[in-house]
Amino acid sequence: MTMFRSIDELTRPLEYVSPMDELLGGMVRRWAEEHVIPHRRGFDEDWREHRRIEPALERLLGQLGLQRVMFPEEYGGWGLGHSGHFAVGCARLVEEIARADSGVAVAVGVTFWPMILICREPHVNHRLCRELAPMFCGTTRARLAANAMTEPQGGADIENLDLLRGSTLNTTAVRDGDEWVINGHKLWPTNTGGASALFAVVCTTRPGSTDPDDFAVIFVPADAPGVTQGAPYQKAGMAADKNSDLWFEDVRVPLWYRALGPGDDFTYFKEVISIGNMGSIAMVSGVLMNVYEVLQRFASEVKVGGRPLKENDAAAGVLADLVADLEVIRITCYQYARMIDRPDLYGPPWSDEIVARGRALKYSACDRALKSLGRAVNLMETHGVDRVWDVEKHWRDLKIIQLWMGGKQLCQMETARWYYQCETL
Amino acid sequence: MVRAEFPLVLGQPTTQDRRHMTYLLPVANDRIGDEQGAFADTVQKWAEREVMARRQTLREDYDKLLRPALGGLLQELGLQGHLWPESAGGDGETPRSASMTLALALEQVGRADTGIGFVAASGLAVAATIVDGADEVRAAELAGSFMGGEATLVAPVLGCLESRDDGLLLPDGRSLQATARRDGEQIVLDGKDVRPLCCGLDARLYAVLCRLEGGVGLLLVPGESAGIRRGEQTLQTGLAACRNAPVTFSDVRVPAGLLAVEGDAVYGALRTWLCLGLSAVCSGALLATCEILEDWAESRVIKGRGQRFVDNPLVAEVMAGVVQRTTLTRMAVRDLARTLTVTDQPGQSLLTALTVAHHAATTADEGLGRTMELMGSAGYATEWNLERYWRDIKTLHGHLGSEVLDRLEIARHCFGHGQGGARP
Repeated sequence: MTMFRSIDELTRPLEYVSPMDELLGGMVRRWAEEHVIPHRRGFDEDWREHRRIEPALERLLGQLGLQRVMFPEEYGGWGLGHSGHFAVGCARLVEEIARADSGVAVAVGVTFWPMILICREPHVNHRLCRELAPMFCGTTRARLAANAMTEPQGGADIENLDLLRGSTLNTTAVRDGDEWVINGHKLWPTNTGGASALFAVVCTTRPGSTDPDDFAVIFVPADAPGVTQGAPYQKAGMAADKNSDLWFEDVRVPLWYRALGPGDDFTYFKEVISIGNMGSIAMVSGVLMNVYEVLQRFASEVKVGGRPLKENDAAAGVLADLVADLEVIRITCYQYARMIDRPDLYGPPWSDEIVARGRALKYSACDRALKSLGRAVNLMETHGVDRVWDVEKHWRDLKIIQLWMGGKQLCQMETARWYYQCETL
Repeated sequence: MVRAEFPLVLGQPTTQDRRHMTYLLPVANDRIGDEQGAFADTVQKWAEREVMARRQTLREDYDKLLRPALGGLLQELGLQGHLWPESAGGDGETPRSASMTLALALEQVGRADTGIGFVAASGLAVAATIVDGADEVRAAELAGSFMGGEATLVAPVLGCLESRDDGLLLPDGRSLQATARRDGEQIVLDGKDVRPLCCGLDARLYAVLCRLEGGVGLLLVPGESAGIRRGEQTLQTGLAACRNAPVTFSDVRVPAGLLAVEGDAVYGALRTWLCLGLSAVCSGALLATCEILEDWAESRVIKGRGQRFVDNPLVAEVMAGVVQRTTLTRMAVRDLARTLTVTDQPGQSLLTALTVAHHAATTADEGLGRTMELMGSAGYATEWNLERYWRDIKTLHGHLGSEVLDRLEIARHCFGHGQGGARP
């Protein structure tokens, strides 16, 4: 039996991986190989009910406890939020999960995502951490969270912070005594359609305002009166990522459920964008890692003209391109994560510079990966589009990674704005 | 008679015209006759009424939408009889004279549903190969296999990745999946777990390109023949209208009269006609992409309140790129169709056909990918139908074959690749 090269032989900058890299990464890999990879082919048909998907999430988030990872130790968490290896640690986790299923990776990643605002140094909101930690740290049942950004009137406008500064937000938060009263309609948040226990709602305290003080992120429990979730959307892939409409109708939460307060919500939401892009690159890397594993087996087993496919020079060129792209994307992923972890060297992760670098690296990684994976799918002929090999699933999912968070065009504009100092884009 | 189906010069479209992207993407249709154009118009109207108008509610439901639509197209509309002699109840068109008609019709089918187009193109490629290689009497004898009382789903069996000879699909039979031999008045067929191009699960007729006693033959095998075992349905990325499955032929015996065509030329002819049909289907998917994009972009505003999506220069550039891809693909498909009207042996145009087909599939893949990038989440949500074309085209391209390996075939003919420098 042929022994193939391990994915652990792929390049990674070992000088700055997290001290808990092997502990956490190994745990997730074992979970993925037992609870996801053998079952993932059935996930597509499970997009509405999540009967097959939920057990995997229960195991990872609830029983193994990964949903505690962001919260400070004093509230029952694992303290990753204040670790100097936060981003590289997240990169490894997300990469490992995406290797098995990037839809599961986004469901897990988005659960951590809004917690960045309240769990990360130097802007930890201890009162909110203490309030929300029991939901995630005091249970062995899986708990998901959602970052409710996108609205019907303009898909990428909310993430376009540099230009629009929250001025297009139609979801409003009005102060009424000691409470916020929230009204609005969101589309597409990951972990909606009934999946989430908690929403971080991006909204405005003064519609049309470009003042950063009016940009707010407010946490809303999913069971608060006035919250309605729609039925899940059917998509081209990523069945584990459940999305739906989300309505807020006179939803009341305490004033202190606002993430950080006037001005700070806006500032640190850019960090959420940076880390979202880092996580996206990690997903691309994880996807290609698994494709590389599949291709090693496929190109060795399938004989063309009596020789393994990989021994045909033309085919080998396609195979080489994919792994070459994977190497570059993986190095990019860890390098960008390290930049987020070292603000002393690279500047704060909420700076326009780090946001722009993340946009550039994310769309470049997606473009590269889609091109090389698309060619590999075609090289496999009918096997490439046959669900048995799982490569087509990764191809579908990868396209979705490319398109979220404002898609390619917003990435291009934010890149051009910073690198070329554009003033009117 | 010359028929100007669509204006050849861009004008100001009326609201009615704008419903059809074909108006905005003019190509030279000056060699399309009245009857050919009328047939394409009929297919277009059928596609809009029977498929496009119903798919929002029925999605990719095979039993409620796709199978009935295939029946309507092949039998009621008569596409399956188009190439067969009038004496056998067909329309009596020769493949070469009808190549442009087929391209236009399949473009419209592909515009409505790539999978239905794929199945129709596969059946028509087999019919064209037979009719083009046989005299009228012989063609009339075989017509019955294709034109019974119901729609005939035809499953062509050619080569596959594993049967390629050092990457090449050779015309001499070495690259085929099934083997046949003569036994008196019968032909006996064997092949284990062969992969038909389409419809392995539902085919009423298998058209098996097989090795036959040192040569190559195209054998028609009725789906109910003894010795055929259909495997489990293959789950694939797209092409829901094409329910495929591996098929095993174990000592399957058919009358020798069902050996439709013999000789090396049949391989090239079948692939060439297939390339024409699939190219046209890709062209139709691109037309649909332009239409979806236009519909979607019409009401979008970005960068706050007021700026129309299409008024953004970056967006406009990408949209125009999709239109460029569509226009060039349509031109290439029409040029291939016209080439086939004048060629002596369709198989001699295989390299051109392969080039056009891979170009069309790659370009459709790119055009759909770029459109998805503009549409963001609407691009991958089933609601807008775009993602369906995107999955379908990728699947179609997989069935067309590996572009990298097919380039070896082109290099073999052009530069003597694998022949010690000698050109075949």
